[in-house]
Amino acid sequence: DVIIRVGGGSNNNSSNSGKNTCNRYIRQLEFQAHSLILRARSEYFRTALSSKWARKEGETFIFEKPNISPTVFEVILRYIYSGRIGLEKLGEGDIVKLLIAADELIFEELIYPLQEY
Amino acid sequence: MSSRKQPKGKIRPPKKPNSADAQFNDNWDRLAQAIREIHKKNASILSFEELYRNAYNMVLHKNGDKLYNGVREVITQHLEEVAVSQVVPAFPLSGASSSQTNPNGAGGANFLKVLKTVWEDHTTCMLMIRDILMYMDRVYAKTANVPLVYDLGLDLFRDTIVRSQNYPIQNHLLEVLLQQIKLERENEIIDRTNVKASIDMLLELTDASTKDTVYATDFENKFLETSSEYYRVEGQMLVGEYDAPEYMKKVDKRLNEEEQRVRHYLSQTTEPKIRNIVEEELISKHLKTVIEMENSGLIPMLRNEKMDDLGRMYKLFGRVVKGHDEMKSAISDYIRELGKAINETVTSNTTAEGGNAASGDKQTGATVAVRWVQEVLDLKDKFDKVQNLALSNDKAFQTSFNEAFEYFINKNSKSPEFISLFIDDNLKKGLKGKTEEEVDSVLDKTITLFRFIGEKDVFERYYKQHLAKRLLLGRSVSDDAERGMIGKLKVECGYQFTTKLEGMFNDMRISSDTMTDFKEYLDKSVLEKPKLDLSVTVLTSTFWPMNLSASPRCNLPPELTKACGTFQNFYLGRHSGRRLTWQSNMGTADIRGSFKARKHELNVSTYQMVILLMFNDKQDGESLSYEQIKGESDIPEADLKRNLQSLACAKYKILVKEPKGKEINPGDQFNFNNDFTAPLQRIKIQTVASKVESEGERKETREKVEEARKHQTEAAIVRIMKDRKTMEHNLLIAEVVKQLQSRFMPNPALIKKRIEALIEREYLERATGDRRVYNYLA
Repeated sequence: DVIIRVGGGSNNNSSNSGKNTCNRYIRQLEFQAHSLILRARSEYFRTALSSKWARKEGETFIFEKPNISPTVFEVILRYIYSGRIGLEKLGEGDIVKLLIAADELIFEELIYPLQEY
Repeated sequence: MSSRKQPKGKIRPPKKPNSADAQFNDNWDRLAQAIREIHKKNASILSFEELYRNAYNMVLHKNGDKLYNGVREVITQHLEEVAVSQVVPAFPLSGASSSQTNPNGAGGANFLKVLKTVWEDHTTCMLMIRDILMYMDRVYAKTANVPLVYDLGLDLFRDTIVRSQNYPIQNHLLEVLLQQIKLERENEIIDRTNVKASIDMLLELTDASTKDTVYATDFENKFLETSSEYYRVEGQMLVGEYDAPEYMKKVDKRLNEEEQRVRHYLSQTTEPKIRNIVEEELISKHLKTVIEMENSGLIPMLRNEKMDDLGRMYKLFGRVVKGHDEMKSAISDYIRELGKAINETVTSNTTAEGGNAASGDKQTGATVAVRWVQEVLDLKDKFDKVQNLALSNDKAFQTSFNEAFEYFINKNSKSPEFISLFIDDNLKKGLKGKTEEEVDSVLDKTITLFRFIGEKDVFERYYKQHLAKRLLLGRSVSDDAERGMIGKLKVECGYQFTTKLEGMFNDMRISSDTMTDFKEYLDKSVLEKPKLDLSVTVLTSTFWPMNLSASPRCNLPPELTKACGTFQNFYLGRHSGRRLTWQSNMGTADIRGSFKARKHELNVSTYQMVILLMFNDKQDGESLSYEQIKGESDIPEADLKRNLQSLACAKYKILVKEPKGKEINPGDQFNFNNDFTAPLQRIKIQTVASKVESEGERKETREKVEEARKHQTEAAIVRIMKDRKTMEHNLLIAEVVKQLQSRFMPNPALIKKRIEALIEREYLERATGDRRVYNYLA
């Protein structure tokens, strides 16, 4: 019940470009996830999806995160759901991006192994 | 890090317009703006993600301290504004301090309300700010060792609002709170939610120096002080104004109120403290006064069996350290007093009765005893009830009650006798019209009294005497009841105590068997049959409270002597090596007497029979003098007097005495009363039995008991010494006391004497080195 729109800009850029509702789009991607799980796994999402901040459309939360690339976010989402992190598909640059993203989203338990990696 | 999004309008210019910091300023401006928006409750237009990212970037670029300080400044500024614009105008009129007379706390309540909204706004804002600055909290606050942003907000709130340097907010707040509480104590209705909000606020704020909550440092002490003052005044007022039950109700209510108050809007940590204060001020300080209140204190409550009040008192006084002790001692004193009163009425009755005793009014003796026991039992019942209903069966109270009972029961030296008499009375006639259970419960209660007796051996002696009389004279109503009683005594005192009593029962049974055998023996024997039926009860002398050596003599008529002889032959033939002693003072006889009107069957004692048979040989109208009777029958004087009394002065006057009167005196003349009439064929002549012992008898019993005690003490000493071989004096005494106290309280002097006697007889010796140590000599 959450739609997370990621990408659509470089890591440092905020994006207010037009929203693309396509599921898979190179520049901006929509991920669907469950707010319950996100909230349970991450403090960041707990806050972001809390009633104070979240923007709701109907029954779904809409959350935009423009400075994380879809590739990275997918890994993170996988991690959130499965507790495992698959680094095989990622290039070196992506790993760094992942590290930055994990730092921003405060996945502390991800940061240390990634730094070692 | 350029933003493509336009800032939402600048309010103030960038603080540090250096080129390197341009981006920071840009970001910061937007954040500051956002915080201001949050303060204006416009948060919904803000994008969390964006603000978060801004803060994130700032921290990432080592601008954490700037961000942090900036946030602090913005918040402080906002709070200052709030203080001026909202809090200060809401001060209660002209300051609560000067307006104690302010009748209702409306101004105060309003102030609290304002403060509450301010506080609530602040916390919500702070929560949102914290959300935005989550990354800063994580990364910067930790490394820079500064409070998290939320805590920062609290601290700022504390310093700018609650403990504002510029405005006397703190004073107002505390005063208003205390005033509100005072109002509520005086039964006004206050808005608890506001008070609670303020208290919560104080609870959440921590004092910078003590790390304690502001509640604890600023508020609690003041609260406790004022409370203590308040209740001190209240306590004095209540004590003066109300009686004890009312007072306790008030105190109870106060305690509940305070508890409620704490639960509703104060900190749990305050609960024990405020409770202590109320207990101290309202209970401890007035403990004695309340207990001793005339007409309503503890004693009147007991007297009127005010169980609720007593229960309340118990509960309340249990809260303070010395409360129960005071109660206990007060109740114990009261029991002692009542007991003393009972003892006194009884002794005054007995002395009065002592004067009457000689005039034959013996019945009172027993009634006095019965009444004494009954009163004690009633008292016991009453306090048991108190114990049950009001004191939740507190063991400590039970013990102190028991001690009190023990004390006054043992104060009455006759109590063992009285209790035994009471049992005697119940077993003799009490069963009539009572169910088994009732009798049982009466006896059970008696046993509880028995438990209090210190001199159980004295009781045993009396009980034996009474039991002997009951058994021999066939007065006992029910064997089962007797056995039940003995069973109860056995449970109480153990096997030893009751062996003799049981032996007495056995003797009765064996005797009846013997009598059947004897009858058969007579039928079969060629000997001349005695002219009368003889029924003999053979008693084992050690079991029965008879005095063998001083066996009362008496000249039996020849027919009887002969019958006795026959039985003696029969019995000794069966059991060799036994000695039979006739106890003529215990027997009864059925004799037939012809009077003018009709014949009567008289059931009399052996002595009476002997006396009456003397008149058989006399002519009508011939009289016998007291001396003559005495000389011829050889009956001991005391018994003779008593039996003559029952024949000549009691209900059935078989004999006529000259001169008339209730006393039997030497020189009196007795005539057979030929004109005697009675409606019944069969008449039972009651021996005027002395129920309560006369002084002399009492002394005798005492002596016997003393004698028995000597033996028991010696036995105990020897037992112990045999076991230990050597022992120190004090230890030995302690041990002896321990062994004997189930029967009586031996005093050390007695034990010492016994030890010396044993040394003399060379059972023990003093150790050569230490004279305080004894050795056992095998």
